[in-house]
Parts: sequence; C-alpha cells; structure tokens
Amino acid sequence: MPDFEYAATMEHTRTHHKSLSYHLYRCVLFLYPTSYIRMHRDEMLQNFEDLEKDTGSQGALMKFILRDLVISLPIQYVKLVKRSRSAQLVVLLILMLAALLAYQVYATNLAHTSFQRYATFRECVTISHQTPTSADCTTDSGKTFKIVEISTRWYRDGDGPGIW
Amino acid sequence: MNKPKGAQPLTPAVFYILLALLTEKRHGYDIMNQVEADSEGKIVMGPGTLYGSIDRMMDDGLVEKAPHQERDSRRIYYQITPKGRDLFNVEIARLSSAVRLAAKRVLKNA
Repeated sequence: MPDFEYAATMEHTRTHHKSLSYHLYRCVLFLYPTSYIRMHRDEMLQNFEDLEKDTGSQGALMKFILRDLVISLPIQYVKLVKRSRSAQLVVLLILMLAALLAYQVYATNLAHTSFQRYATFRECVTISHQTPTSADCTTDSGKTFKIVEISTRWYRDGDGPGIW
Repeated sequence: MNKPKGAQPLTPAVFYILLALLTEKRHGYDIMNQVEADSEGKIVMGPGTLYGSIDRMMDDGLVEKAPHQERDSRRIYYQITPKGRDLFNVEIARLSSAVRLAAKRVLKNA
C-alpha cells in the first residue's frame, strides 16, 4: 500500500474509534480563535485522549475541561483583540450596538400604549392642544411639556426612541 | 549570573512550567502532570490554559519547541531556553532571600 494511502487509513482509524466526548471536544475547540487552534489543536486533542485514559470518571473529566474552557477562552479572545485591529473594530461595533439596544429598552420602558395611561403616569393635571398624535401636559407643579405618539406608543417629547 | 532586564516575580504558572522543564524536555501532557505534582495539586492546568501560558512564554523567549523526539513522534516537546533558565535562577534567588529574611524575623520574634 502506498505511503499516502497508509497514512490516510491510519488517520481514519485514529479518529473513527474515538469516544463521543473526544468528538465533542473536537467541536468545542472551534470556539477558540483560529490562530490559536491552528497551532495547538492536535496537541490539545492528544492531551484530551491522555486525560480520558487517566481520569476515572467522564463527569470529572468534563468538569475539568469546562473549567479550562471558561478560564482560557476569554484570555485567548482578549489576546486576539489586543493584537488585531479588525477584532478591535468588531468589539467596538458590538459595544455600540449593545448601547443602542440598552437605550431602546430604556426608552421603551418610559412609554405607554395609551395616551391616557401615559398622561396619568406623568401626573398631568391639564391637557391642552391635543391632536391624535400629540398633546401638551401641565403638571400640578405647573411644569408643561409635550407628549407625542411614536409608533403607537406615547412618550414625553424627546424621550422617544429617536433613530428607530 | 546576569539578571534579565526588568525581571518581575514570575506568576505561579510560569514558575512551575519552568521548573518542570528545568531538567528535561517534556510534551504538553507531561508538563500538565509535572506542574500538578510539583505544586502539590495547587496548580492544575487544562490544555487551554497550558498552551496559552506556553505561547506567552515562547513569545518572551523563555521556552521553545524541542527538536523532534524519536520516542514519540506525534507529540511536540518543549524545552527551557537559556533566558528562561536565567529568569528562573533570578526567581529562585529572590524567593530564597525572602525566605531567609522571613525566617530571621520569625526567629527574632520567637
């Protein structure tokens, strides 16, 4: 049998007779950054096999591997972000999206679906200049502000979700 | 002994990895086991944490990949570099001096 065929057969035999947890670990390794896993994938799989042989219970092994993942994954991603400009941009983009989402949730919580409920919530005593989509509200303390409807919800003018 | 510039106290993981490689070349799993044994079970490293530390140590020039080993061709062996050995010796000297000082003070107060 030619060398390359022998090597392919051996590789197939090696991966074919592995345990389910070995295959699971192989999949889990894809969570690591590509640059890291390209360098250490084979070693880590070999270590997993050794650990499987030496560790009595599968439960203890899984707990050990899970702990290792929880510690090492963030470290590898922080390293990746420190090194790569594009990774820094992705993180910045995610943070901006999270901030916008948080703002959306905050702004939505200030809204009510009915004008009456919103006016009560804002403690309006007098309502003037009312149209189907806006009204002026005056509170007990004499403060006046505008209430507006945006996408079927009522807000204080300026509190609305703006860009959405 | 030349003190490496800017030598800081070593982290426990780096210290025990250097200790494991001080006398012989080892592969990853062997290092994991040796670190656990040397630290009396206080430092237990999984594959992810181990290779993260080894990468950093290789970047700092403290360890390097050893030439291909006949005894097990599938594994990658690591060895300590002269810089790693120097840094380890500096750390040992620092720890010894701290222990001597502490012992002196303990005896004084006894």
